[in-house]
Amino acid sequence: MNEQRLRALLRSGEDDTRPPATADLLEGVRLRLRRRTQRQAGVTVAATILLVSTLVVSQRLEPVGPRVVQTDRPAAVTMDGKELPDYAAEADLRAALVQRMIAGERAAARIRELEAELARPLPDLRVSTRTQVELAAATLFRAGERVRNELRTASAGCRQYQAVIEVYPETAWAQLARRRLADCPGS
Amino acid sequence: MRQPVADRVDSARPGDAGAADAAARFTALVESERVHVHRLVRRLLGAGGEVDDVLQDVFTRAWLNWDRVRQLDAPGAWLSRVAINACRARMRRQRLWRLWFRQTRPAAATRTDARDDPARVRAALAGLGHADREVLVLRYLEELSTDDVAGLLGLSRAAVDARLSRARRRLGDVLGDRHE
Repeated sequence: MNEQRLRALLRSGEDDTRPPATADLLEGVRLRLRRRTQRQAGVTVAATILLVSTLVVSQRLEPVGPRVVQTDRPAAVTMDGKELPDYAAEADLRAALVQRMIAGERAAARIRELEAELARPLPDLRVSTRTQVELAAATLFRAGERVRNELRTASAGCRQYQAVIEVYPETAWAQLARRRLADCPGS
Repeated sequence: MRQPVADRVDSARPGDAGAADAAARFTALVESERVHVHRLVRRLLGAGGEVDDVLQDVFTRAWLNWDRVRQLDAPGAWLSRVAINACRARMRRQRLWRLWFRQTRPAAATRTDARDDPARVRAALAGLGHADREVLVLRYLEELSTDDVAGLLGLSRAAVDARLSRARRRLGDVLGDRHE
């Protein structure tokens, strides 16, 4: 098929439909533009409705009121903006501090006592020993006195005087025992 | 961002000289190009109710792109390109529609028909694919040169020649005329 014949064939197949009038075409364009504007507005409205619906649904899914959190701990009670656990911790801290202060005071008092004890002058061992010796000599002498005066056994009392003189010769009780012994029979 | 001409015209106050001038120039473009665009769309799609629909679509796009179209030296070529793309989209939609509803293509011409019967030629042309139909319409009915066809379709000259050759062969097969 050559080009001339092809061209003729194609032209023979053409129909003679007339184009629309300019006014009709412009009216069609105007309607399309109006529909396009309405469609854009519809899309905007639909998007807004969808957004609002999503927000409303998401709000309704949330529990109304304060959120309740399930925990093992009891619900915290607030006082002056602080929770009780905070007060408890603070109280524990202060109690520990007071205990440490009391222990420190006790230690200081003990130290003061020890210092005072150290500052006290040591007793004279010779005096105390002398006193003990005097006490022992007195006890022995009194025993001799009781034997001689109450039991009326002069010989037994004289032995007690003799013992005082022998055991505690340097005491005043020994001198007194010598005088008593001088009165004993057979001296 | 500049406001489109259509919006400017719609929102123009009476006495808005710029909007009125744009509307007047657009009306003049429609008046001068409507026959050419209508003929091209009718040749590409075949006679039917969709021709006027596509025609309105083409000029609506021109209106929406008026800031660009009014500066063109040859707005007719731009309109032709838009019309070709609109026809391609329409034919693609028709093909999907047929596949979806398992419809058949328009009845192709048979070799027993009279060779020069106009209805048979129209049926043979409608039976071709849109790529074949485009090159035949532009080259032999619109009387464009091969270079112009290549420019409109965004193809190389060699590709246009190849498509023309293939389209002629297929049309000849359908019409039973392969004598070159």
